Formats: sequence, structure tokens, C-alpha cells
Amino acid sequence: MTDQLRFTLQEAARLASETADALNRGDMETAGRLQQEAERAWQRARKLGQQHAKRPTLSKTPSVRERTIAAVTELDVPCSPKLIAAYCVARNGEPFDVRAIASIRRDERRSWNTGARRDTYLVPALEGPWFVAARGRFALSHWPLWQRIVGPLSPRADHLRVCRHLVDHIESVGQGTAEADRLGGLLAEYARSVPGALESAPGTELKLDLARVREAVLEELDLLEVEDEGQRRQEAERAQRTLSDTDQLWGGAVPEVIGHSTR
Amino acid sequence: MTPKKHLTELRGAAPEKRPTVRVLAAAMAHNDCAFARLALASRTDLDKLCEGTYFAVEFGQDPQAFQRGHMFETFVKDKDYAMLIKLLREHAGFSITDVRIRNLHSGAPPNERGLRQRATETRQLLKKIVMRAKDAPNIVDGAVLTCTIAGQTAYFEADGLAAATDGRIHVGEVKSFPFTDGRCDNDKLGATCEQAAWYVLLVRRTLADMGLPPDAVSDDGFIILPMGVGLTPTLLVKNLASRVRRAEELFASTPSGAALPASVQNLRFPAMDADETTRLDTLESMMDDVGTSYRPDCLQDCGMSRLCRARAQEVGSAALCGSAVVRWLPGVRTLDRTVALAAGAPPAPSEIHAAHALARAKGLFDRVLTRGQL
Repeated sequence: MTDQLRFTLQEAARLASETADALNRGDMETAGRLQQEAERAWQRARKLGQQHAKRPTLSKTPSVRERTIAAVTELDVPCSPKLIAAYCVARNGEPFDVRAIASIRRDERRSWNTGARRDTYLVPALEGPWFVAARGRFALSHWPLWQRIVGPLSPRADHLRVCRHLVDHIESVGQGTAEADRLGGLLAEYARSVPGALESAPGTELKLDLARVREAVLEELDLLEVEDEGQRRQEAERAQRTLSDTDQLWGGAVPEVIGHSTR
Repeated sequence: MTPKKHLTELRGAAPEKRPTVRVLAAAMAHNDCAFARLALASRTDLDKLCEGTYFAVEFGQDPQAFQRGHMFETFVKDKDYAMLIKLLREHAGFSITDVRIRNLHSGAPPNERGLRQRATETRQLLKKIVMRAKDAPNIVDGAVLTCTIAGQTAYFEADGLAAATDGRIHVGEVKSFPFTDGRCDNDKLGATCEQAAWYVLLVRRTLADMGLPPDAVSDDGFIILPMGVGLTPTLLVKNLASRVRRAEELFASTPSGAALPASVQNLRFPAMDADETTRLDTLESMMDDVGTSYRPDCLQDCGMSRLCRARAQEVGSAALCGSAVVRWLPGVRTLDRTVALAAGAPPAPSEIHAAHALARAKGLFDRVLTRGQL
């Protein structure tokens, strides 16, 4: 296809220059004839060019939605848009516009409402006594209900689980790679509040010791994990009793509060 | 019309002020001013009402300071309150498992309905904390507290966070003025402690409403500030007992009244799109009807202050010289009268004490300046 286009363009160019020569000689009849041929060649070239541009690219880049769902799947905990964006960028170095997640959120609900059923949807995590949709926290619809519910310990426990995942993933891709470096930066930010995870002598540069980070993270997570999961499962049972199927995915409504009496 | 409707009518098309504990604290500092009380009760924002007129006040926070404050607060709360957790563990003795969090901003609409929803959940959480429930939170962000103003239930957003360990509640405030080498701007720290004290008072009243012990709220508040020019935070523990007592007194002395006085029922704050002359006329006639109480420190707190000061200057009010002077000259309302009394004019019964002091002062003044004696 490219060859044909190139040939046609060269044809059109040759005919145009012959037209100019004929004009120079004063040969109006030949010039007229040649010009029409040049026009036709040029139109053929244009049509070929348009077809060429419409061809689908051979390499398929994942859509924002696909990247988001992949990230949440790998992290395996309810995520904030900031975390999703930071993780995606760290994983493959491609930029990620965090604002896109807001439009995905709106599109997901709309898609669900049309009745079409995809493999999984990006849904809000549920929280509070009325299991309302949490702001800025996303889960996947195919996860069990308890995993999509946020309990009081969940923000911290999930934070630690993210740290653990980052440590595991850095080890699997091998330290020293570009991806590992980027993920290491993210891990350093996340592990900053975990006691004993990051330590450097004052004045020296902070070096990430994966084994130490893992140990510190697991030590803290150990204290919270069982209670967190227990609370979430308990709340899930309550949600199943009180919420409709749709609300169990997209969040319950808040009862209208009329007023409070005070002194 | 219900009192609530009255208050909404009173505000009319004037801008509304979001009810936060900071707003309550500022209003209570001027609770001797009937006009300020009216603005608080009707949730009217006085900051910009004189805009475009001669009396406009350059008000509100400098946008850069506001941005820095926002950035710092975001940093402290980022990654599920990671920095706050670290601070509470390192400076406030929180144990490593005291990390239960409830962010009431999430899931509540940013409107009146959301305020009521958050107020309901705040009460549930406070009860859980005091009763030492297993799932009681250690950090509550975005609590909403209620209190009665002008006979109405008013909802106030707490800027700060209430942290709890072992059933003790500590109020918290995040501010962005720096704490360097153990020192910081004392005026700003004082204002922050005032806010925190009001927060303590409101939470105690809420607990009392629910039949729970008010002393579950500690006198010690947590103030979180950046160290130096960077964002690294530190946490100060400040005792608020005396400020809370003062707040309590102020609150008790605030005229409440279940019904608004009749004079108020036909008033309406002016809309911003009214022209300057109309706005000023409306405001001045409201001030005449309702009464104001100008003092120099109004200039820092109120968008009406320049107009109020001008009015005080017109009558030569003694308040122009500050509350200390007003206290030293009880019963003397204008500066002209002060001059007259000092010159020996016969004092009214209520002015006798002041008249003596003024006469002595004038005597000293004359001796030194006129006759050159010391």
C-alpha cells in the first residue's frame, strides 16, 4: 500500500512538471491534456493516503479503563485514584491522567444501567453504617462483598497490604530495573509511616532495604489483619441482610435526617 | 413563620457563611455585638458586604497562605492519614494499633443534608468511643457538632480531627504557620487554641446531650504544625482548660432567646448585587435598629468593621480607644464628654469615678506640658 501511494505521488509530480514544460514550449493542447492526467493522479494519491491513515495500528495500547482495572486487580485492595495513577505510572512509565478515573466512574454506572454485563466493573468501596459509596476509593465488582467494604482498620491495613505487594513485585521484576526503581520510589513514600521500615544514618541517602521493609510492614499488619477482616466480614453479613443486590454493588442510600435536639 | 424561616429571610440574598467551629469561635469573641450575633444566627457572611464601597475591608486569608494551608493539611492526611498516625504514635502516646479511622467527609454530600448526616454519625461515633466499643474510631475527620443558637439547632463543622485512645477524646487542629526551634507565632497559636477550646466545648455539650460524661473529652488538644519552611509536621499538646472555661462563660452570657425580637422580623441583609449606596443604607439602618459594639479588634475579625469604626468616629465613641480605655472610664461614652469632664464639667452620677480620674490626669498633663514641671 505504501509503495503504491509513493508511486502514485511520483506519477502526479512527473505529470505536473511535464505540463509546465509543455506550457513553456507554447504547446497549449498537450499542456491541457497533461494537466488533466496530473489531476487524476493526484486524486488517486489522495484517496490512497486517506485509506492508509485509517488503518488500525498493529500494536494495541491498553485503554485507561483497562489500566485502572489491572492496577486495582494487582493491588487487590480498595484504591484511591491517586494510588491507581501512581501505581500505573510506576509499573510501565506511561503517563496516567488521574482525572480520567472520575469519568470512568460515571461511565461504569451508566454501562451497568443499560443492562450489558461486562466481566467486572469499577465500583465504589462501601463504608459507614449505611454502606454508602465511599468517595475516592474503588473496588472491583467481582470481589466478594467483604473485600469491597471499608471498616475502621481497613484504611491502615490496606495501606500495609499495598506496601507488601510493592515489596513482592519489586523483588519479582528484579531490583535495578527501571520499573523497580519507580516502584521503589512509591514504596518509600508508602512505607514512611511504618515504624522501622525505612532507616538511614543522618546525612546519608536513604536506601531501600526490601527485607527490612517487608519485616516492618508484616509486623504491623500482623496486629491488624485478623481484626480488620473479621470486621469487614461481619459488616458484609449485615449488608447482605439490609441492602438490595444493586445497592450491594453501588452503595446504599442515606436515611434522611430531619433534625437533632440539643440543649 | 418559624424562627428558622425568619433567619433565612433575614439573610435574604446576602452571601452565606459556612458554619464551622472557627466561625463560631470568632463570633463568640464578639458576642457582645448584637449585629454579630444576628449574622451568626442567620449564617450571613459579612466579610464582603461592604465590597466596592469606601468601607471595604481587605479580608480573608492571603491566597498563598490559603494554598499552603491546604497543601499542608493534604500532606498530613495523605495516604490514609499516614503522617497523622505517625505523629500520634510519636508525640501523643497512641499505641500501634490505635489506627481506626473514620472520614466523615467521604460519602456525605457537601450541603445541609450532608451536615445533618455527618452530625448523626458523629454522635454514633462519640458514643462508641466513650463506651470503648471494639470498632470505635481513633481518628474522626470531618465531625459535625450541634449547638443551639437563637433557639435553633445549628450545625458546626469541626476543621480539626478528634483522636481517641482508651476512650479519651482529644480535639485536633491542623494549621500551617511554622513551628521552628521550639517557637511559633504566639497570636496565631492563641487563635488556634481558641478554636480548639470551642471544639472541646461543643463535643462536651454533645456528650452531655446524650447522657454521656463530658469529661471524656480531654483538656489537652493536639495542634499540628509544619516545622520550618518545609512540610514535615510536628504535634504540640496544649492544655485548653482555661480557654474552655472562658468559652463556657461566653456561651452562657450569649443572649439566646427562643423568639427573635419583633424589630428584627422585617430586616433583611442586602444582596451583593445591590448598588453600593443601597447596601450601605440598608446596613446602617440595620445597625441602628439592632445595635453594634465596636472595638478596635473588630478590624481583624469582621467585614463590617470599617463601617462600624466610621460610625463610632462620628459620635466620638470611647470604644475607638480600645476596651481597656472603656474599662477605665466607666459610664463615659464619648470622647467629647471625656474632654469636658477633664476640664471640670459636672459629672452625672454614673460618671463620678471617671470624672475624678480624668481631672487628676488633666492636672498632671497641664503641670508637665504647660508649666514645665515634673
